Amino acid sequence: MSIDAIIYSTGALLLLGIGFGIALSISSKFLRVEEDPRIKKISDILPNINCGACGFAGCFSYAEAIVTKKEKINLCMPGGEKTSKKIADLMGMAPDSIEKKVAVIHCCGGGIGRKKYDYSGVKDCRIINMVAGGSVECAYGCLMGYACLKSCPVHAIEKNENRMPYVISDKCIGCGRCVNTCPRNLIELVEYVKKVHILCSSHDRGADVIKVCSVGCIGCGKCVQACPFNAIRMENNLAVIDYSKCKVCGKCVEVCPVKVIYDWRKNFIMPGKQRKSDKKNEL
Amino acid sequence: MTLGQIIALFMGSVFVQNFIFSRFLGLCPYVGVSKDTPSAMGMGFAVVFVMTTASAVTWILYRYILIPFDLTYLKIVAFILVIASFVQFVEMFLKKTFPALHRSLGIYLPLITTNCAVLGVAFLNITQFESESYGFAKSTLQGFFAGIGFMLAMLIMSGIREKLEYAEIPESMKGLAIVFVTAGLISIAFLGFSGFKL
Repeated sequence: MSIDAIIYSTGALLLLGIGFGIALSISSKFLRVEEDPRIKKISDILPNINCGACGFAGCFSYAEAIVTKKEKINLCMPGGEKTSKKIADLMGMAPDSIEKKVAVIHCCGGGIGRKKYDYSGVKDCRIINMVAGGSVECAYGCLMGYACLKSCPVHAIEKNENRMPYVISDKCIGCGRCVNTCPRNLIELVEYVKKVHILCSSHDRGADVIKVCSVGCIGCGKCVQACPFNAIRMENNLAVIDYSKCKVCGKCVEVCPVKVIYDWRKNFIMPGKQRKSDKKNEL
Repeated sequence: MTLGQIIALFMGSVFVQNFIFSRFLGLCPYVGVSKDTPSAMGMGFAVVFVMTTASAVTWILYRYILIPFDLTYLKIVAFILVIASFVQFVEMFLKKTFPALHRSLGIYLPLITTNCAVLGVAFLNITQFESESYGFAKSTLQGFFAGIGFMLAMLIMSGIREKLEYAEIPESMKGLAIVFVTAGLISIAFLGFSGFKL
């Protein structure tokens, strides 16, 4: 091999490289993007699961908003106080407190309630909901399609023995993905400390509820009278707890004749479980 | 160059010899970025741009620099240099104009550099059209159509994968496994174009 070949090949590639190098450096002058280094740092602090609880498209967009638009730093639910404190240190701001919130599915009768028809098809409640208004008679009940279960990034939603999904409060990070997925809007974010829940969303009249589901709120109003803090109100035949007033005393749990009010402090009973022994209410 | 030749080139690189479905080149971004349609579309456009410009430049480079100076053995290095520069340029451009797309493409954008489909189309051009008349126009067109074929494959796949989200897939087939099976089935379907003669 002659020395010429080496010189030619090296020279040609050198020239090419220099040519492209110059072109790229010129274009980088025009296409430069100034980026605040804090955005990258904050995005590293955030959990990076892109759950969307903060209301932004992802962790990176939230980090961007904190730096550029001076967004509040306590919006990250999964990260909690720790993350907020770290961001506060980085940005030189005072940390804000975060109330831990968890998702609650306000239905416990999806597996027990009467079926309208036998559904066989894609097992996703967003689709079941489109087929003749859902496969369960109750117009407000869970359709057992488990979209919430699939959407949960931390697997905090499980099925109980009636195949009804329920949220394990200790695992839930409060991102709110399931809230947006549920086609019947049964899921709500509630403060972690409020452990008493009414697990029914039916606005039907009591007589109609009894026809289709054994564990539905019949709107008797006993809990409203039993509550010492006026935290329960009737909304179109449905008892609703005002969580800001609720002191978690548990008095309403005892008086409910259909047992749709659950107290998860004492022992975590999976929704619908106690119904098994309660034969008189079986359909 | 007649219209018939252009149509033949189009049919050839988009359907009959689709880079993904019949040549099996560039499978990494095909599986990696086809999760949702917008990013698949973005990746498709980036590849179309890189393929078209790279085909044009590599053909000129080969015909007027490498052949006269008898340096054809340098073609791999020289072509990779061209492709890498163009990918770098596309990355800068996207970061400036479409930051969201840039973020969703992530690592797959710099990976176009090593996308064998781009190098593949450059090599195919110089072997097919080296001494032909209108070689430059033909190789540029072939690069563009190959990019279109790539984008078509990406769009088909992302459309199917978005629907797969709702499907009930056996536990063992979840994730990439079902994607590979789907890719194989589409590939078989595209095999039907091989009997297609113009």
